[in-house]
Amino acid sequence: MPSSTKERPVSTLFSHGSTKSFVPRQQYVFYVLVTIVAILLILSLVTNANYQWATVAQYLLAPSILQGLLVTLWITLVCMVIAVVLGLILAFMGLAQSAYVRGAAEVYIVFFRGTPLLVQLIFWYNISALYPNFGIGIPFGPQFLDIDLNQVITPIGAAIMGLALNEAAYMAEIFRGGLNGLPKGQIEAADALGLSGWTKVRRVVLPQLLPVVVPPTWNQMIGMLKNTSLISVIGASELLYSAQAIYARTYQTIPLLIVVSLWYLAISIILTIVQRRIEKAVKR
Amino acid sequence: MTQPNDGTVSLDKVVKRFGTNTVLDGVSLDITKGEVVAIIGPSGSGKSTLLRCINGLEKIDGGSILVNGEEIGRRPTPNGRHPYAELKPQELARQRAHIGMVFQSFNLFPSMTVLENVTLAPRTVLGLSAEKARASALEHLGAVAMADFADRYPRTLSGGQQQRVAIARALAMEPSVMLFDEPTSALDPELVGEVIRVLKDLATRGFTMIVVTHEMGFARDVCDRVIFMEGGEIVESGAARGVFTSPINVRTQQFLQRVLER
Repeated sequence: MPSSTKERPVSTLFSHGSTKSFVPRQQYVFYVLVTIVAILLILSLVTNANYQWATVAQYLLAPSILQGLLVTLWITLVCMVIAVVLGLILAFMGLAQSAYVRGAAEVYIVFFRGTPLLVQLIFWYNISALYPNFGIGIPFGPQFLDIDLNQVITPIGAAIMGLALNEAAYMAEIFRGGLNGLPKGQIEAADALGLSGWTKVRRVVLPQLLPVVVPPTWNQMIGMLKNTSLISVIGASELLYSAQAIYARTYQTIPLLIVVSLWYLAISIILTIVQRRIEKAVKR
Repeated sequence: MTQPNDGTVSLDKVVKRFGTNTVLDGVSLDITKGEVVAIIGPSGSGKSTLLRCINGLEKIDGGSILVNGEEIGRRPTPNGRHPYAELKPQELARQRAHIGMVFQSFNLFPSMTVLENVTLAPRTVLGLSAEKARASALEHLGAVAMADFADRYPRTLSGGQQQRVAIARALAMEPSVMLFDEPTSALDPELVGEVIRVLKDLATRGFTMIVVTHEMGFARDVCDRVIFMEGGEIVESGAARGVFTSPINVRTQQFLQRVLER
């Protein structure tokens, strides 16, 4: 292992020598063009009455919008928690000795990553057309448990199932990469010192695993936040659906979509700021 | 039953296979307390595997290994059909705590300072208080001339310095047996000397030491006994000077000729 490798900021990798002489005239033309486009955009935002900024302001904090936002937030959280747990299980299955267990994890990941999330969501919503009843019992014998899936599969239920099961496939890949990248020597050093169980995991494995796994997981969370808008299609009353319910009545489509976008943007920005903090903390 | 922690190592017809490849083919070896043993031989001869079996990093497929009179990795059962039961991970961890191991690639924990590296196991495994562990760690770091670096992180140290910290980390567990797996092989040539000096010092302090090494000078001048391995077997074993000056086996002669020519 090299004892010390000097880290070079990425920005210096692309410039050779002095940067001062490296501002060609074309660059100023580009600055001017960008400025003009920006001014035009802002002018249009202010002058085009179709934006209906008054309506945006009116609905930004409307109770039904906030209600939808709340649903979006808790579904994001719940689905990520389920996906992390399921993803961990799948990742460990992927590392199993048995080819049978590895194969099962592989099939799951191929299936859930290989079909569109939107299709999966609609599929789960209509699962009762495929299996009207879900029961536990002996085939052709007595049933111990019998559930009418028409009752259970609500829009929210199908949404959580669809988003979480899909996300688990991606989380499994992230965890698998992290576990594969663990230096074997570190585990052996911990073993040789007699560290066992939780101490080994907490003091040796996690400090090496978290910097690799946490940033992409947080990235997936930001993705999940936006993917929840897909579940409006199956009638789950999240943020977008709440806005659609309003503009279906009032025809104020554009201002309500702006309201929705502003909320997604705000939460994304907050999550990104937190992500930067986590990356810094985890890098130490 | 011998005294616990008496520092003896006893191997009886140890067999280890990786798939169909037999890496250790009936290795028997008795090492007494305080003996310093060098294991030499060409790469792929099973030297490192032998060392890794002694502290249970590898499971053996036949024979038995006793350290401090205690069988490593398994215990006898009253059941006739399955005379041995594998030890639970915690039990194996307890056995390993008495066996120090130093690796070729140091394997210091990068997220901890030098001091934290050395105090982690004494605190969590032996249950020492923070102050006691710190005092003992500084003492062991002093013995390898690394006490001034206690608050540094491993990545800021040279290879030789990292390896000396790794030795202090193993010593801090007060082991009865120390295993060294090619401790100088990953070092720049000019850094080998400082680690060898530490090993020489340890050899005079009564530790049982087993050193897999390519440093023939160290094996000849410092070790009580030299073992030459090839093809998963012990080919020759004897007093260090004897093996180097008048090797009996032809394969030993050929190997020594090759390495000493350089």
